[in-house]
Amino acid sequence: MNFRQILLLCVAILLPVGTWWSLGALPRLVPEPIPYSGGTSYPASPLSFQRINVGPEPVGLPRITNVQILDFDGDGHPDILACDSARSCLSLFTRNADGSWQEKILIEDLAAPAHVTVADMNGDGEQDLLISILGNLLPDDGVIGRVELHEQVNGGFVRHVILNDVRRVADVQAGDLDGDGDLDLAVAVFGYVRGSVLWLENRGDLKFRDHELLNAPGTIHVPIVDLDHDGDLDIAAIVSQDEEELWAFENLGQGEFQPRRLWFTVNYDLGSAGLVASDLDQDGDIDLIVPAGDNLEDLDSYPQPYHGCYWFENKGDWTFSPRRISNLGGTYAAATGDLDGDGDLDVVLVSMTNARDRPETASLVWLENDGNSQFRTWQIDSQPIHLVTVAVGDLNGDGRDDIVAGGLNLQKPFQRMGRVSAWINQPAEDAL
Amino acid sequence: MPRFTVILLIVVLLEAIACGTVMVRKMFRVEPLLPPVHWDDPLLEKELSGVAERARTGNSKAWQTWGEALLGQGFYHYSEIAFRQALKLDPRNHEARFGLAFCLDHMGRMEESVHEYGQLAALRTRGEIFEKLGTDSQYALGCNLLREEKAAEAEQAFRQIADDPRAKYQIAKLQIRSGQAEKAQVDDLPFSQESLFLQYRAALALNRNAEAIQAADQLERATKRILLHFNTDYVRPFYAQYGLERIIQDYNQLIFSKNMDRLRETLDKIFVQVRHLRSPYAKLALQSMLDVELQRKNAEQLRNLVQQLRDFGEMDADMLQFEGAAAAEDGNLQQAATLWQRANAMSPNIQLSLKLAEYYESQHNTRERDKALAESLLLGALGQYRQNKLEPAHELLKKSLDSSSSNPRTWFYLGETLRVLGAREKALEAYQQCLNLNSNDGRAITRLRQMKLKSL
Repeated sequence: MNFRQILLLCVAILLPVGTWWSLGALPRLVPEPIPYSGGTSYPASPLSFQRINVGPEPVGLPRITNVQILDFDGDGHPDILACDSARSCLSLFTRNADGSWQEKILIEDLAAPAHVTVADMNGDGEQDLLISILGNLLPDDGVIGRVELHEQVNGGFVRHVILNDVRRVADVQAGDLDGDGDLDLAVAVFGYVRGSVLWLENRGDLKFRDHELLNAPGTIHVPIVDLDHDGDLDIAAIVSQDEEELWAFENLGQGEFQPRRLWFTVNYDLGSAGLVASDLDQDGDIDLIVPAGDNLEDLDSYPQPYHGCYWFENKGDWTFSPRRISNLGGTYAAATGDLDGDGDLDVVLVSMTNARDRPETASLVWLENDGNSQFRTWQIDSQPIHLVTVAVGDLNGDGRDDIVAGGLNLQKPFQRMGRVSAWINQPAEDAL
Repeated sequence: MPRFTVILLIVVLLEAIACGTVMVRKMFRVEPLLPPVHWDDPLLEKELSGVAERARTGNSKAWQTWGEALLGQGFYHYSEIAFRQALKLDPRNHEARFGLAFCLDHMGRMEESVHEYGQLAALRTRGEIFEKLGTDSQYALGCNLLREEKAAEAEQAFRQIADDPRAKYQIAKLQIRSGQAEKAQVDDLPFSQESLFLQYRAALALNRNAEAIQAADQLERATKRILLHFNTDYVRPFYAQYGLERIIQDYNQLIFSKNMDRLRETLDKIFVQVRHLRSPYAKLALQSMLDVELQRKNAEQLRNLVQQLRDFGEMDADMLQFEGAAAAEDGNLQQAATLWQRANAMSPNIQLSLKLAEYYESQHNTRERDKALAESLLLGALGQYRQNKLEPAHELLKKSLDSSSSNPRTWFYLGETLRVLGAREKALEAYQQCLNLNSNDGRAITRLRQMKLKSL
């Protein structure tokens, strides 16, 4: 072999070896694609909040469906009531002197409780509990819902089933609808494919006569308020599923109601998730607030561009003007309160399904009211995630509104989960 | 030039071309992106990495499979990248384009999604793709327009597939809601819960109250559905192919073998993967183990598993039922009955009512026995009634009343059944009997009024 042949032979051997060896070190000339980034996050809240866990450390997959702040035991201090569909119970949390919270199970054996309403139903001076029973938290068109009244008697509770043989019940509210001095009830039968809105006429002795107001699936909340300022109580209802309608039932007296569809959208995917009645602009009439962000019909939810919070401003004469005041992805619940103590009502929102692979996306925000009904969103926290219920109230008696929220951990990711959490509004000197 | 030199030159040249090609491909290769998350399912990362590896060196179909795997786990944004690469390699990969459109629509990027679905729908009209893919694309396009609140455009989109029941439904619904109920062709829809609800709404809009009442009445007993949204059906097969979900699907097939030992062994393997995680699979494994141990009549295991579920933060009627079964196996019938009563109060079911009837029989409590038997028969009747099987429902209701005639609900449903079967006078009597027992039954009052007005 001559020199040229030796050289070619060496190249023939080294070329593939060298190529194989250098493959790992080759630069990539195609830039790595950047995945689309949905979800919403906001500037950090100028108000500072300290997050605490309410009650014992959560285990498993907590599924809290409703939280409320009220002084249930009448000791002058606010308590927290929580419906727990994982443990099938209603829990009362009371605050200890050191600021921690103690849990007591008030009622057991509740098949997927959706909501609790506290009212003295028999006028004996004791707080009774009206519990909306879904029967199954997951989609189910079966006739498995109930309204249970747990009458408080001598420190305990006696169970009465006051409505049976209906589909899943999501809400029940109390008010004197027929003006006869006792408390009647409005009931949201969410169902699944079929459902209804009912009012239950109080006939005395804890007996109720049912009347159908609307035949439609997906009613979530039925606040009882005087919407037309005529001195009697009307009923509002948000109907979700594929209907996405806002209804009111005008009280005509004598137990008669005029149904009014206040608003609807052809966007069947809006995901309305609740209804709050509040005079947000403090002009003397009651407005309606709709959090929207329910995507639970999908195996994995994703925040949508139409999610957020819709304020339906009461303009009088049964006209409600819609305005979107937040775009928080996966918004599931809203509550109002004066968080910054400036005399107007702010709005607190929680998200169930923001973009969860981005840990900075918001799970809890507040909308600061500037006094002219313009709202600016501030992010309070990005965890725990999967929040579906929220309440606002002064938990520690310092004159500042605090926040409580509950987690419903049904979808991935099963991380950064909470059960009942509170955010204590800190003094101004602690603000960021 | 000597021949050997020429051969060597040719070899070197060929190697240079081959090595150059390999290097260029490497530098320009698109790497499949795995979402940088902490996986809840301990099996998923490894399995999905395998799929990613096949995509890395694979063709359009391999990238499509990768996209579908990611879609099954809800990573729409990563799935989009995979589908786009699949289309780059083969623009005629229609399934990849459908997957891309689906991801875009699920991320709320409707306009982009409409564009992709539109391309597929156009192919349908030219007969170039499978009918179902094209129709689904056109329907999804219309749905996206609804989500953008473009009602008129959505209606036009649905009219392109006007024979599709879903499209017919959406057109009729749009018409009813826009004040054109008289144009809505609800009678053309297949008989279903959805069509009956639209008939009801149309009748109300046209002030045809009697028709509305009849539609609502039929709706109560309708069982057929129009599948309006294919989202879950489309995604579920991708979800079920990987990780623990795949093992659960295999387990569900194994159930038919009724080999309890093998079932328990499979469940133990699942549980060991997730026992320290806050995972729904841990809960599912424990619940499935309860079914197995119930078959084995193993009281100790039943109690142990119920306690594990309690420690996991769970409590429901099923757990009470299993605890009751454990107590019954131990011969403690009173405790069993107490637990079953609690479970039945939470979630009444035929099995529990029959168990309780047996217990009361053993205690010589004929009154409670008869009530429990009547309850079980009523529940059976309601199951038949709601499937519109009125004759069997009628028989069971009569038997229920033979056991106990004091339940107003039984009388109400007897009235319902007799009414629909055409026995109007007997139906009226049954409703009245219901009201004799419970004067506040609003539905019975309404039915009597409707029948007197001949609305029903």
